[in-house]
Amino acid sequence: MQWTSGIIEQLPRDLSTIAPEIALVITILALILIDLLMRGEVSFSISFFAIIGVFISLHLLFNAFYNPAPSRTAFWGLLAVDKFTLFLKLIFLLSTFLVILLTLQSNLIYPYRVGEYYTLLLTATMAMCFLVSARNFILFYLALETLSISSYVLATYTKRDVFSTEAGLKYLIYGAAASAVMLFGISYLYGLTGTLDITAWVNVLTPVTSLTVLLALLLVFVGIAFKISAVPFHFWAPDVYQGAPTPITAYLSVASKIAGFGALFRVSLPLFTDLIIPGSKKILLMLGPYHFQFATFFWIISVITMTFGNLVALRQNNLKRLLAYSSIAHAGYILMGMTVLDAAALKAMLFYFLIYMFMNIGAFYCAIVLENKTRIGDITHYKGIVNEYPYLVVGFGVILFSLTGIPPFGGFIGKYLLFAAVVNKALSTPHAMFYFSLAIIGVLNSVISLYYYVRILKIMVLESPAKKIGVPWTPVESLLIAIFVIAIFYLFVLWTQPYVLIENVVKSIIV
Amino acid sequence: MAGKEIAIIIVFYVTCGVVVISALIAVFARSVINAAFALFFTLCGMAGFYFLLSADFLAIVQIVVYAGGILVLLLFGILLTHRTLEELGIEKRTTYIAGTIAGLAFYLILIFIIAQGLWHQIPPKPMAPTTATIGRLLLTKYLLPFEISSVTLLAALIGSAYLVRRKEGK
Repeated sequence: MQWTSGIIEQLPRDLSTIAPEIALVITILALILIDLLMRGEVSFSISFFAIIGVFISLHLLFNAFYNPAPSRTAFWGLLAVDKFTLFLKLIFLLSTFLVILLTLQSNLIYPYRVGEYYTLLLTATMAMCFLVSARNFILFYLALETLSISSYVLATYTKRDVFSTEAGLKYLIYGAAASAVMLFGISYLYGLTGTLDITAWVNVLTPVTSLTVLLALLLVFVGIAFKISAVPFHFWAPDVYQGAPTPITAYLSVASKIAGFGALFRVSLPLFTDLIIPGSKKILLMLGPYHFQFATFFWIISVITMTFGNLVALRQNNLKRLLAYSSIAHAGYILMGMTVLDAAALKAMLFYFLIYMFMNIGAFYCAIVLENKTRIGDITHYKGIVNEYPYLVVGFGVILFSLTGIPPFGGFIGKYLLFAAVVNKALSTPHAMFYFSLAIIGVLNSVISLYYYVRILKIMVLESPAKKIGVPWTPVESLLIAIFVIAIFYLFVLWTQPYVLIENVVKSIIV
Repeated sequence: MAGKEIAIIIVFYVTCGVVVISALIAVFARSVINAAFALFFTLCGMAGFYFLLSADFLAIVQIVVYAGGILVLLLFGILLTHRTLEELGIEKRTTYIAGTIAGLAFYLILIFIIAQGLWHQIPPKPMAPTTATIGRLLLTKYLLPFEISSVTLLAALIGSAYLVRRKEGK
């Protein structure tokens, strides 16, 4: 048979490039078996096995990272193998690990079965890994759908809680609609190009077809914007973030969102013109007149998203809902990078992912601790809580100031790099006002966000406590808060270390 | 024009009519059960399009999976929880107006796109078995999505089994 020739040689090489994902799948199967075979008190041992699986996967990922293999594609061009995807996978696995730690600390999940919980969590992680490396719309859509299906169930996981059920149902309905619109857009792109290659739209971008291509891309963007909760596709986010069990909220707001951005990069990589390998001048020529249109589109989405998120967050009293709007605003900040569309912006966005992961999961960890102590999600009930839990309030303060983006916290570096990319672009293009206005709006938004972040601290520190809560503070809680605080300070003081890594990562991208 | 081509065009427009009319019935029917039965014709009509495009395997899968599987499940679901829209209290006139405007706007945009006719075209293929090609592609180029879909299905299975489980055993 002719068609089998070459497969035997190719397959082992290709399989080795997805070793971290294979480790995750084996862990998923092992968790199911362990859950079936060991009836009874298996809850904690299952979390233990899940953590081992994530670590094996991380180990394989590091192997690939420090093994200087050239960037290439695998599986007949379906999968991109470069450091860029490895970096995003690293973020997904790290945030999965942190979310497992949060789950162990949360009182919400353990009244339920945990075997299915970890199975779905790791399935979602695997799906994200494939989503960001997909170069073909079939793989892209399949990974996105796997991620969505797992997330729907995870959002509903505390099913005796009415809000969780509502969250899951809303997520499912919005998600299904967004997927349908995106599939429609993909079908248009396929109809235009005759191929499922994720960046093939560049080849058909001519003055005659531009409107059609742009509309098809807009439809694809709807599905992605749903994942990153960019306005106006954010409607699900507050309800889902509030209703879902808190560790899952952290997971959705960090890993799922970054996966959405990764997918957005994959589709729009040809737009990052200074990344394109010399020799493919053709792409530059085709993009020329449309480049600014894309930038304008992302400018509008970015400004609406951050302004809306921040303004609505001002009026929130539920902590998880407030953090939901804050995470919408952060999606807006990150989208500033999509407006700039150059290598510096990409580096800034990757750095922002790193710091955002620690800040946001840390913030939700504080929400879990407060939930465990008070059983109330309303911030007006946290009056004077500093007297009883000083470590918690100090740690939460660091995380919140970092989210605002003021020195000496890691969030400052993240925002600084993003704003620097915008301002540098403003200085080097004829559209100076276009980019300067974006930077100014971004800074104004950061100032607005300071108000609601500090308001939480003001209630906790300055107001007098109503009554003693009386739930003791545990050393594990100190330890976990310390992890987040140290990470935030590390990314401020020694930010150049991860930044050097990110520079390497950006160099390796395959268009 | 040869007689065969005319026949194909006639079949195409008849199928179009079936799909569009039954889809409209499915959307506007008062009773959910009528809507479900109308959906049956929509799904079969879609299979007809696949036949016209010489995609025999896809057409059979469409009938087996959608008409045979999903629709039967849907009907069971409706029969077990049979209620009219009025009983459910989701009969709201006001949403129709905004929905119609948004739908029409979207429809006009799509018509505009389609009418430009910029599509990548391939010559029509004669009806020939496609299963061999599909099988070959699933074991070569699309091996990875094929395998990932098994994990997807596993996750969907586990998730739905968890959600419908009534007794909360630890």
